[in-house]
Amino acid sequence: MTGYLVKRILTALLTLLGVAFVTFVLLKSVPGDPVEVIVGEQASEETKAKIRESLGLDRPFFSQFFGYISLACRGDLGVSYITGEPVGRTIAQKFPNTLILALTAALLGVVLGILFGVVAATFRDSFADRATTFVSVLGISTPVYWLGLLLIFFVSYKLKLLPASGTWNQSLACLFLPAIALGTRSACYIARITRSSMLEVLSADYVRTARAKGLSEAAVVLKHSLKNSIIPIITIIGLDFGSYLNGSVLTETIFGWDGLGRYAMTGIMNMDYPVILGTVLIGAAVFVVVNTIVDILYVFLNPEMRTGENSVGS
Amino acid sequence: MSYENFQERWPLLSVSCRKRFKAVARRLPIFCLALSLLTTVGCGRKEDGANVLVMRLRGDVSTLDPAYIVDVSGGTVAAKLFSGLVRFDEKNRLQPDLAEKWELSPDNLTYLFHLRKNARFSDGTPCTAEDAAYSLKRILDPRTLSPRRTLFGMIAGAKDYDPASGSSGVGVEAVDRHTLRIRLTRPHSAFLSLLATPTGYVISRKNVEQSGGRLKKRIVCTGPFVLSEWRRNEAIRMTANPYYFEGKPPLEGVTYRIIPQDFTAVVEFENGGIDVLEIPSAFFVRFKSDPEWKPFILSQTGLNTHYLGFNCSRRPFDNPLVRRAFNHAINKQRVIRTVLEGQAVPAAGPVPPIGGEGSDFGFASSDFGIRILDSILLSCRKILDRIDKILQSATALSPYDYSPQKAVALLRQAKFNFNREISFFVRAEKEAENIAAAIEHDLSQIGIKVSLKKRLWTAYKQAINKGEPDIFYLSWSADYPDAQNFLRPCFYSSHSPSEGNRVRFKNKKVDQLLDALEAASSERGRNQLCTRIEKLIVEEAPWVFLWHRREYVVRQPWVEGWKMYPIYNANKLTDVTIRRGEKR
Repeated sequence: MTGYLVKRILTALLTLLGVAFVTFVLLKSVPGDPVEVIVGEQASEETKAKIRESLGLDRPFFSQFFGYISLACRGDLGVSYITGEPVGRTIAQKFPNTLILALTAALLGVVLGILFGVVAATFRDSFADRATTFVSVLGISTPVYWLGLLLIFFVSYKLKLLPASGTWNQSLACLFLPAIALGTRSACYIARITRSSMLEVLSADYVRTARAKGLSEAAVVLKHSLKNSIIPIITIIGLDFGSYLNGSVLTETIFGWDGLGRYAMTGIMNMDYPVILGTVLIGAAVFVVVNTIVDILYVFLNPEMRTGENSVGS
Repeated sequence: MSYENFQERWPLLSVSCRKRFKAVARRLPIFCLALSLLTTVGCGRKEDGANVLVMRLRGDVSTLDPAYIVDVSGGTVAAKLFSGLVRFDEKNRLQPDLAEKWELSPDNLTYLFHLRKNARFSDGTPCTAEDAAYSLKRILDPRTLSPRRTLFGMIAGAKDYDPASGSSGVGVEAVDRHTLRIRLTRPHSAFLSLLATPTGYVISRKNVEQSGGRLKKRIVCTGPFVLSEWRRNEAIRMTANPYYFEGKPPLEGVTYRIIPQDFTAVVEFENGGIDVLEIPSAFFVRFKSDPEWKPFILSQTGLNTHYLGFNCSRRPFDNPLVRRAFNHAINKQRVIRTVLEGQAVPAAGPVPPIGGEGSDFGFASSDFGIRILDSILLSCRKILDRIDKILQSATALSPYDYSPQKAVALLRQAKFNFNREISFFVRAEKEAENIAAAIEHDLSQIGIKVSLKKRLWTAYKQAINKGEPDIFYLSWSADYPDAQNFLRPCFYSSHSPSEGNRVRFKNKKVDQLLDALEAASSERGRNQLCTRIEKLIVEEAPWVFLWHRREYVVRQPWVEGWKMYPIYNANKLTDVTIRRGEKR
C-alpha cells in the first residue's frame, strides 16, 4: 500500500509540472498584453516598461517558468496583477465557498441518483423505471446554464422562494439554486449508471443464491447488489466532485457565487497570469487528490483488487 | 409491474413499510413547512439596511486607489468615497468640490485654489492644501507607476519630476493650509476638467503611507461615503461619512452588489434586491413595455460615439472620396431600429451632444395634475431640444444621408476596385456581430465585397493597433464632458492608435486647430474652434459616424432624487433618498 501511495504521489507531482508547463506555454501564445490590461492603453511606454519589469514579464520564458515553479514549491502562487492580493490566500478564501457548493451538489446528486437508479433497476420496465430513464436523459441533455436560468425564473422570479444570487455566507438560502443546478446533471448520470450497474449485478449467481437463502428483497438489493455495483458509481462521483471542486464557471457566474470558478474566469478575462496559473494548478491538484482517493476506495470496496485478482465470479 | 409482482419481490415492504409510508406522508406537510421556514426565515439574507441604496456592478473593480483607476466602474465607485478640487454636475458644468473657489492668472498659466476650511477626512483629520499637493505629486512621481501620469503633463516640471533622483521642482505647491497653487507650462483649457476625473481625487498622505504606498481596503477619504466592507466579487459596502463637508448624506449607506449575469440582476431588481439598475440592452424592450416599470425609467444620450473606422494610412481608405462613399452607404437608422431596438441616436459627427439631458422616460408622479404639468413641461422641452438640434445642425454639421446612389457615384469617381475584398474586423460579441452583419449587408448592396473577421477583445485591439483591418467597428467614450476629449485623442496626427487615433488620421489643418483649441481661453472661442474642427473631420470622414448610445436606468418606486449624470464619476448620491417603510 505504501509503495502504491508513493507511486501515486510521484505521478501526481509530474502531472502538476506538466500542467503548469502547458498552461505557461498557452498563456504566452495567446495574443494580448497583461500590462495593457492593468494600466490601460493610454499609459506611457515608460510606465508600461517599468510595470513589465516589476512583474518579471521582461525575463526569458524559461526563467519566468522556473521562477514560478520554484516559488510555487514553497507555497507562493504569486500576487494578482490586478488586485495586488496573494493568489494563494485568495484561493484559500474562495475554496470554502466552492467546497460547500460542491458538497451540497454532490450530496444531492448521490442521494437522488442512487435512489432513483436503485428503484429503476429493481422495478425494471415499470413506470418508475421509464420515468427515471426519461428524466435522467432530459437532465443530462439540459445544459447547466439553461437549467440555472429556468430555476431563477421559476423559483426566484415567479415563486419568489429563494434568492437569485449571492453566496452562502450572505444567506444559506443562496445555496439551494446553484446546488440544484449543479447537482441535477450529476444525479441523472448517477441514476443511469446505478441502474445499468445494478441490472448487471441483479442477474448474477450470488444474488440468486442470496434470494435462495431466503434473504429479504431489501437486503438482497441494498446489501448484496448495491454494494457490488458501487465501483462505476464511485468513479462518476469522483469525477464530478473533482470538477465541482475546481469551481463551475457557468453556475458560479449565473448565481453570482464567489467561488474558484469565477475567480479563474476573472483571471482569464484580465490576463492575470498568476491567478490563471494558481487556479489551474490547484484545480489539477484537487483532481489528482480526488482521483487518488477514489482509487484507494476501489481497493477497500473490492477485495479482488487488494489480492490482485481481476475476474469476477471465476 | 403488477401489485402481485410487487408483493412477491418486496414481501416485507408491502406489509410493514406501507404503514411507514403513511406515517411519512402524514408528516410531509410539516416537513415542507419546516423546509420553507428554513429557506425563508432561518436562512434570511443579511439585508442591507432600509435606508441603504443597493446597486449592481457587472464585475468587481480592480482598484479604488485614484492613482491606478483606469476603468469606468472603478471611477463610479471611487466617486462616492473621494472628492476632487472640482466636480461636474448633471449639466456637465464644473462645480466647486473641495475647492470652494479658484482663480486663474491673466496669462492662463497659474491656478489658485481656495480649499474649504471645513473639509475633513473620514478619520476626522483636516484635509489641507498639503494633502491636495501630495495627491497630485504622487500621480506625477515615477515611483508610483500611475498609468495616468501623463494626464497632468501640462503642469510645470511634471515631465522631469522624479524625487528619487533629486528632481523635485514641480508646479504644485501649498501656499498655506487652505490655498493650493498649480502652475502650467502652457495654457490648457481642459485642465479643470482633468482635475474632475478620478485621477484628480485628493487622498490622505498618512493613509497611503500606512497602506504601504497603495490604497487597498482601509481607505480614509473626503467623499460622502466611507468604505466599510469590500468582499471581492460579492459586494462593496459604504456607510455615510459624518465628516463630509456638505453634511452627512441622507442615505445611511450604499451597496454595490456584484452580479455578472444580466438575467440574474434583472430578477434581483424585480424582487426588490436592487434599488437602481442600469438596464441591460437585451432587457430594454421588456422594461419599456411594462407599465409597472415604464414610469421609473430614466434615460440620457451617453457621451460616446460608435463608429466604423478606416485604416486611413493605406489604400483604398487614404482617399476621402471612398470614406465619404461608405458614410453614404450605411443605413444607420435601420440598424438603430432593428439591431439596437432604438437605444441610440444617429451621429452627425464625432462629438455627441454635450450638455446633460437626463430625463424621466415616463411620469413617476401619481398625482394626475402634476402628471399633466410634467407632460406639458416635457413636451415643451422636447420641442426646444428639437429646435436646438435643428439650429445646431444648420450652423454646425451636415450629416451624411443614406444614399447608395451617392455612394456608388463617389466610389466610381475614386476609381474604387470593386473586386478587392475589404477586411472588416469586429469584436467577437453578439451585438457587435449583429451590427457588423447589418453593415456588411449594406455594403454588399452597392457591390462591395467584405470579409468579416471576428476577434476576442484583446486580440481585436491588438490587430487594430497593428493596422491589420481595412475597416473596424469601435466606440469612443468621454473621460470628461468636453468636445476636446473626442477630437484631440482620436484625430491628432501624432497620437498613436493606442492613444485613440485608431484610424491613423493625419491632417495638418486639424492639428493646428486642435493646438489652438487646447490653448483657447474663452468659451465662445472654444466653441467656434470645435465647430470648425468637427466640420473638417466630417468632410474628411476618417470614420463612418454611426450613433451615440443611450443609457437607461430603472429605479424602484421608493428611490427619490435620482438624477442621470452624463459623466460616470459625477454622481455622488448626496441627493438620493429612500422613502421610509416602502422598501421591500
